[in-house]
Amino acid sequence: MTQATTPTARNATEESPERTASQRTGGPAARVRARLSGTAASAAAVVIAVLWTVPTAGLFVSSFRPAEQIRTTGWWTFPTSPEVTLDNYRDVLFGTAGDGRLASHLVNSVVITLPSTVFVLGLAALAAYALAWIDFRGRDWVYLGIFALQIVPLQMSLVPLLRFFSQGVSVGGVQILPAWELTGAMAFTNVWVAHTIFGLPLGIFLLHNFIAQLPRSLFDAARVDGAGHGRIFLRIVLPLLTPALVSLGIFQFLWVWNDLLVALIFTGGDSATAPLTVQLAELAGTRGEDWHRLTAGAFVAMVVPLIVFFLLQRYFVRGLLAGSVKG
Amino acid sequence: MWPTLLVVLVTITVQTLKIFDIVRTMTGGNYGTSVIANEMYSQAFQQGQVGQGSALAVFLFLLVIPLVIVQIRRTRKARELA
Repeated sequence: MTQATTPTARNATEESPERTASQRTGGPAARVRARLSGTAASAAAVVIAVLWTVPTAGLFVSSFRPAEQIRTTGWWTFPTSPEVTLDNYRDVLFGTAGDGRLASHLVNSVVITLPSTVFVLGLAALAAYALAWIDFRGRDWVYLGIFALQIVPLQMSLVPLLRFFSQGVSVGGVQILPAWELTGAMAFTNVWVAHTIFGLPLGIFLLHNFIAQLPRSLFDAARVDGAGHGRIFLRIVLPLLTPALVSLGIFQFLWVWNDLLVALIFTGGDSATAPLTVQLAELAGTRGEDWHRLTAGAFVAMVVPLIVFFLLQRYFVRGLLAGSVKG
Repeated sequence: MWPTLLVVLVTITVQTLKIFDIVRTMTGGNYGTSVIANEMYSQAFQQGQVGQGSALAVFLFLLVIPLVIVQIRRTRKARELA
């Protein structure tokens, strides 16, 4: 099938050189579309989708079953003994502290995730603009360094960063920066800073790729009209950047929301600031005796990312396509 | 085709080398399933062996360096072409 479509597509473009550029670039795209919409490809896609959804669907069914049933039989026996209860959700959301009380940790997760996402978006946009359109010495080396940082395991920085928060910086016995000593609700600041630091390399990389593709004439025209870097950034780059910002925002939001390691270390196991993931990991009990609660807990943790994804989905698709068509 | 596969291969390899949360929540590193990131966490933050934990983190970094070099080479080539 592939060999049949390829020559015809090529002939079509060769026979009509007077066609416009946009139609010519439609050639390979059409070929890919034809290949991907074949019967076999569609069947494979459906099979993969079902395979990937079955465990989640099973978890969803399980979360509505009574605790004894979850522990004794599998979710696939649900049709033979349909018993629906909301007890799991009630226990997990509003129960005693041992049961999870996820409602308050849900708030913690939001408090941690929103600033961590906004900081990364703002700082990464500024840095990406500077790296792409402001000429300064060593610019390429800075960019390469940030690019390499993406791959450095964040575990490398956990001990130094934690020490920085708790003891400050001192060189040779001289205190240069004091310890932060943030307690109570202020302890969120540690997590924000940590997540922002870990999110920036990928953010700068993605936005830089996008900003660097903007046409130079745009910037020249703005400069001729008397705009400085600040005005160019606010009035031209930011509006054009919106799809990329939304894509990055979704990535960063999901990453922070689902993160366990950073939260575990920088909230210090304090249940007043612990996000959902930390509580969820302890939900099963110290010896795993209450694992039936995980079914409802997992769905509580999934709801917010799902809402965010579906609300921003059309921006997301636009963001992925942005820059693919020029004209 | 191959450059795309290479990027995905490198990225996924790096991500998987760093894996922590799944191991932590499923087995806690018991029964011989501990990985570097999990071992690093238990050494540094549960047993108070900050030095050993840091050494594990540096070891993880060393494992990743060849992949970083591959990525940088690729990016530089792409930038020269552009």
